[in-house]
Amino acid sequence: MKKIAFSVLLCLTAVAQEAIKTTPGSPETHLIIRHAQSDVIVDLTRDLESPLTATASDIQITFLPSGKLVPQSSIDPASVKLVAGTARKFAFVLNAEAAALPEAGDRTYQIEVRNMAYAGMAGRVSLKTTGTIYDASNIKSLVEATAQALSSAKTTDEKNLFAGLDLVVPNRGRAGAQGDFVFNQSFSSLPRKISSVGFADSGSFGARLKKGPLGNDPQHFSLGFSLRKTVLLASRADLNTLRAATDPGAAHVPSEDALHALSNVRSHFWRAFLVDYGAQMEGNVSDRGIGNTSNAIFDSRAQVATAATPILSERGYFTLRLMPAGFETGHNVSNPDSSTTRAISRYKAGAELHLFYQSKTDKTFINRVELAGASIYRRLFLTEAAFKAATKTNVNTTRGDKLWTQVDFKVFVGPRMGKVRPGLKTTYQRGYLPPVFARTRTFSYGLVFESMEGQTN
Amino acid sequence: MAETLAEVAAKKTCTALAQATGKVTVLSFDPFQVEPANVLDLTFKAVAINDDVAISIFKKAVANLVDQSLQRKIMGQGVDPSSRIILFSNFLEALLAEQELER
Repeated sequence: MKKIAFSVLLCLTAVAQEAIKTTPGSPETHLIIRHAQSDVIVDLTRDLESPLTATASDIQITFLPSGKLVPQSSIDPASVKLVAGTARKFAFVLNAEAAALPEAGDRTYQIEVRNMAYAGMAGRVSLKTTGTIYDASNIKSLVEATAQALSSAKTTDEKNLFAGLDLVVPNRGRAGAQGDFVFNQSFSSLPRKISSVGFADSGSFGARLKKGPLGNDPQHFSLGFSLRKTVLLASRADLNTLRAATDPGAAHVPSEDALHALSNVRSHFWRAFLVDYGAQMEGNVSDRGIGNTSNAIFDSRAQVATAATPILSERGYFTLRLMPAGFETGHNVSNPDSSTTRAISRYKAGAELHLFYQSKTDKTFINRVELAGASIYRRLFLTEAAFKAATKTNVNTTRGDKLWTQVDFKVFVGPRMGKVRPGLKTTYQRGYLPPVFARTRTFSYGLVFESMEGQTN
Repeated sequence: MAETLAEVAAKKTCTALAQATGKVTVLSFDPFQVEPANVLDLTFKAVAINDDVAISIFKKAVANLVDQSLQRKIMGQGVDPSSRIILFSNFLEALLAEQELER
């Protein structure tokens, strides 16, 4: 069992490390032939001046390999503009007419745009690039490519590069290595029956490892899958109004009505209700390996969550998650030190608070501050394994109330060092975690480096 | 006026962001204006969508803005909080195009 769990964990790690990386490069473009028009999209790697300086008369499109030139009269002049929400993408429409359609066999095109102006730069430039033509025959490849670019797997809570060296200050003066490893991967699709009857709308499988020195520090590992049902706490009428206001040709929905509906949605302090349920294997981490003592658990929990709420003149925000009730039931799979524990039944409740501050400019000495506190209370209805420090074995048993609390504080200071920014991290952990309940208390601190690659803020 | 699916996807993405985080605000739906003006060029983390719960809220908000046939694909899509939001908008544009072309 342990070997299987370890193998799966290693596979998950390998998948995570193959994450797709999207790096800025040259302009990209694509053309989608739709029923009533064709869309041409151009993505750039730097901000354009707003409004767009180029017009329809500055654009030339040539289908390849036929060399067919699209007449400029086929371009809807009113449609040539920056896409809302970005300064790096513009789009326009080709009218649905034979002159604006590619010849049979044309799969790419070249676009040349003159009279372009980048933000903060004097003068005008031209760009020339080639792109793919999409229609019903190959649109799936665009879906797959964009999905892949979006979903690079998370390998830690923070993703990117929170590589850190932590020095541990354990309870009784012993030092050692400590680290958390978290991996989560979403299911690309759920079985139709599960989602169609409303049991769940998303799912993931993942692993979590908390490892500290033996004795007083956390030794916890879990591996499993989880399904989730998410319900927005908003009225159906408001959500329908927002949908109508963002559908194509939505001019019939007055902007004021849509803004009112959005305001109603945002007025809810608790923005969503989420139910998670799944199965997992939880094990301990010791010098005898991972999962020497392990439990098979069915886990279900409900929680309410706020949206990120701005504070401190909108330079900061907080989020709050509250789990009023959750249940863990299952069975002890292995405990070589004791055979007295078998069935598992627990109630749990918890809360999690995140506070975040981001400085106004990138050059401020204290760039970012994060404080995260989480606490989870468990009530063990049945006897479970506990750690006996004197013999370093899991021969003790326990039941009743068990509390786990963790507080993380991070501060990122100073200028960037290449593509990373240095920071300090401190973590305080206290309480009990399954499957081998042992009183733990650690205070650790260390350096962390955040990769700035791909961040534009 | 004809609208590209990139614009439709951008509007839906921004509207869902405004439901999922207080750091994004829609100023007007006609013409569509959002604050920050370049929000799609930022990462999810930069607008405080940085954990699985916040991502779930965002995806659910997007799913409520599209046809039912796309909702499963959106909810099942993994989203890395470190990725730029424009990548989600691109994905949504592709889904909308696929849906239209398969009709």
